[in-house]
Amino acid sequence: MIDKDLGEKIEECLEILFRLEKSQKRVKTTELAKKLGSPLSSMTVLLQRLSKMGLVYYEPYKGVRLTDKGRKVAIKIIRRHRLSERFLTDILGLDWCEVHEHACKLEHAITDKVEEKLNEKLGGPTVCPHGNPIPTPSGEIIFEEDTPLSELQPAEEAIITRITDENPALLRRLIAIGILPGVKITVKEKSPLGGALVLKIGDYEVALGHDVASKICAKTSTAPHRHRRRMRHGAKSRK
Amino acid sequence: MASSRHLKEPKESSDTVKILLAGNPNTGKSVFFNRITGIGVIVSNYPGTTVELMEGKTKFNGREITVIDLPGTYSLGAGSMDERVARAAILEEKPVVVINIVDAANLERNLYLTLQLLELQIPVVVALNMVDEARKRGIEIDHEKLSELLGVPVIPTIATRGEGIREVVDAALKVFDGRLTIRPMKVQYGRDIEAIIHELEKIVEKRLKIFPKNISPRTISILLLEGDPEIIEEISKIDEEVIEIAKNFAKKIEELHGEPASLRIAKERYGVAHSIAKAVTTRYEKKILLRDKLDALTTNIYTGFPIMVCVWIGLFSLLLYGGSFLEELIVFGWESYIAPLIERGLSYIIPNDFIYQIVSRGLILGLEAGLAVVVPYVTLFYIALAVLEDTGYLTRMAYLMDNFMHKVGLHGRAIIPLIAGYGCNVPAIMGTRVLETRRERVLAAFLITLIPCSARTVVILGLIGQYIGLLAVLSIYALNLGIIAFSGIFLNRIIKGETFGLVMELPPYRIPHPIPVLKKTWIRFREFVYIAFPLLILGSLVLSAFEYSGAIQPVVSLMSPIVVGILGLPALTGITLVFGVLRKEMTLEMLIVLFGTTDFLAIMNTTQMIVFTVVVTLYFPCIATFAVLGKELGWKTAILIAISTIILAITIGGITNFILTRL
Repeated sequence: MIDKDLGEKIEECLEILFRLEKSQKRVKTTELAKKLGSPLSSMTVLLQRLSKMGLVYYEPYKGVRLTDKGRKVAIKIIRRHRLSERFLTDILGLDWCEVHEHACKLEHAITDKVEEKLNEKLGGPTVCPHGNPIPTPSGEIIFEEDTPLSELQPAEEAIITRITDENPALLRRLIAIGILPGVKITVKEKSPLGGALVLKIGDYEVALGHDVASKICAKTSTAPHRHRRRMRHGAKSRK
Repeated sequence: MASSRHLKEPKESSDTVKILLAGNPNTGKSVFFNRITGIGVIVSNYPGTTVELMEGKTKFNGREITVIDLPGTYSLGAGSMDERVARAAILEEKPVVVINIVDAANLERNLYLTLQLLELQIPVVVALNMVDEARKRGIEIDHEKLSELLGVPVIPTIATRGEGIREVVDAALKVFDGRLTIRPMKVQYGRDIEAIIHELEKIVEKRLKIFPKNISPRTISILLLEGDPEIIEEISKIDEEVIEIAKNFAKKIEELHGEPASLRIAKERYGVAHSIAKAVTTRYEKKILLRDKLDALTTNIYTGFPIMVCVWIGLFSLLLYGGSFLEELIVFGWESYIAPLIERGLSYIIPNDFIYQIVSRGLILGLEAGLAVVVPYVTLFYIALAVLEDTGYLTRMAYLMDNFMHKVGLHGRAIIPLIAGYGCNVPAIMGTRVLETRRERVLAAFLITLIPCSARTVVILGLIGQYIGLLAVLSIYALNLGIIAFSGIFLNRIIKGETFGLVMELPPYRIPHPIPVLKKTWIRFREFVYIAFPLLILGSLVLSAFEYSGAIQPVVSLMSPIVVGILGLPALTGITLVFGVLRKEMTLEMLIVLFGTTDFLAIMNTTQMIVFTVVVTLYFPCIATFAVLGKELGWKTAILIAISTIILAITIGGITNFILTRL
């Protein structure tokens, strides 16, 4: 058997791989190491090990890809992670912005039995507090890839996942105006010419140029959140 | 940085109370400011910047109070010049109380700034403004609970009706005097971030004996982790190593959280703002207000563009008709009453006829130029601009135009100063202040100088319209637009520097308050008078000296290779071009004077007229524009722009001449 710490590392690694695979086909070892916070040398060892276990396809210098088996494990961990987050916010009353790290620790300690009970207790939630979908027990995932805001359509709702630009002045400006990961937005208007957007964030509106919008990624919440959806429809009778 | 402003009053004297107003844009801050201060306002640029600070004095319960209105910002820091100034002013004006004006309808985002203020350990009183508007939107804020959580007084206000203002000022005074103790909350970050902050704090405390601007070691640590350029610069003057240590700590945060430390910290600060806002907000069913519908109409692509075109036409008509009506009125009054008085007065003072001619002509023409072109157009434009600005419509226009503006390396917000250029280039160039980066300002300013202002429109209509026809007039405008677009695309390629995309809040539509509108107009106008007027007069004096002393002849021969050789114009028109520097429509008046006829066909053929007009439209921005360019962007840039426009004018004029003479 693998020792406890390594098991955690493997799970974490698969989870990160799963997330990274959204934006790229093959994940670079260096990037994975950076995200996982471990040195490159031990990363290689870990990946070779995962490859032997049939969890990843690993070719040195080319990168890593999850196998179907690996993907299944990753999805299971993500389910546990997001259920943990829900547990932390809904039952323990922690704030959504601080639950991620705690959940990173919790997720590895959850057994099948606990997972089932937790799901029951929480009333079978479909999304985590940040708005990401929680995979079903069978591993199905209603998962919209994160897309640049510039590709969203009017009336679409989304949760900002990341800002890909590194210009600190722009980053500060966006943060200050309330555009940062985890924030829920609705596309209110989109210009067919050039694609500038008007976003609704909470109770105010922000206009973004196409160039800025293409640097901000978001996840659309297609997960059926019926109650909220209906309310929004009622409010949108203006057209 | 010391400004002469606060050297006048020693900081020790606590009998004058200093209150700073801080808050997000569109929170009703300027209305609030006007409610406290009344009419007398001093505007000063913050030393070394173009950021304006408004300062007013008032008496409250017999106490003298100085109120300074800081630029509206979403956060404090080194993000933009406005933010830099806001923070610097807060830290330098100590002892001070900050009234933080917070939009009750947007509490969460507004609290971000509040938390930053608290982190700077500045005594803060929160004015929870626009509670009426929030209520209309179904939002109720428990201000007592908010006050409890933040540890500072929170007073609900409706600045537009003056409600709650007295209470806020009263609370600010009490805090200032120490009659009311505040216990500002400590902004608490996640456990691992707190651990890092704490460690860095200890190092900062130990290694730095002096803390810049009395910021606490904890806040210095947070700012260092956020990578605040200003603080880094300050600290690196004291101890370079601290910066390195902080960088390593920041890296640690990045490794822990997979995102830059600055983003992480901001996110957590937002988290705190979020939970506070959540705890004190009750939401009722949201009503859809009329202005929400209006909002949807003005940003929707199908209705938005027609509305925008209507607003433009309205604005142009106002500038052209209203402006020219005022101009005629002023010129008439000037020429029939005031100018003769000045002439008579001068003839008493100056016995020498030669000098008298120079001075009187220069002075009268210069003053007339200022009064006739600038006063009516600039004032009208500024009033219209302030009204449009305060309703919130300008932001919608900027959104709609964003795509077009991108093609020339600008973004939506630049459209406003560009349009203004058709009235007068001077306020238009001042209007480029809304743009974030220097690159964009230079680009926009250059393009503005190419836009035919009302004075150039006089030449186009008077020459081309009169002698060739409407179609030719339209072609001149089309050619001009083409040149502007081409120049924009070209400059976009060659000017280096940062470009900032459009990130702009669209505030809800509001009915503008007349006093802030008039105040804004007056302040901008007065500023203009200081720069442009003296230069107009000086320029006129120099030119009339040239004219009377006969020194103009060498200029003519100097210019004739270009004027005659390249442009194919009569040599004497060179003089008119020199005079056009003062006022573009004077090129026409000078033609009449020099050639002694009003029949321009006797002077030039139609080809020459077109070339002449093209050159007049493009070459050297008039002297007032040049002065503003110099003041806003620096003289080097101003000279560069001026030279470029001259080269552009000669090139385009030459090409036009070449093509037309061979057709």
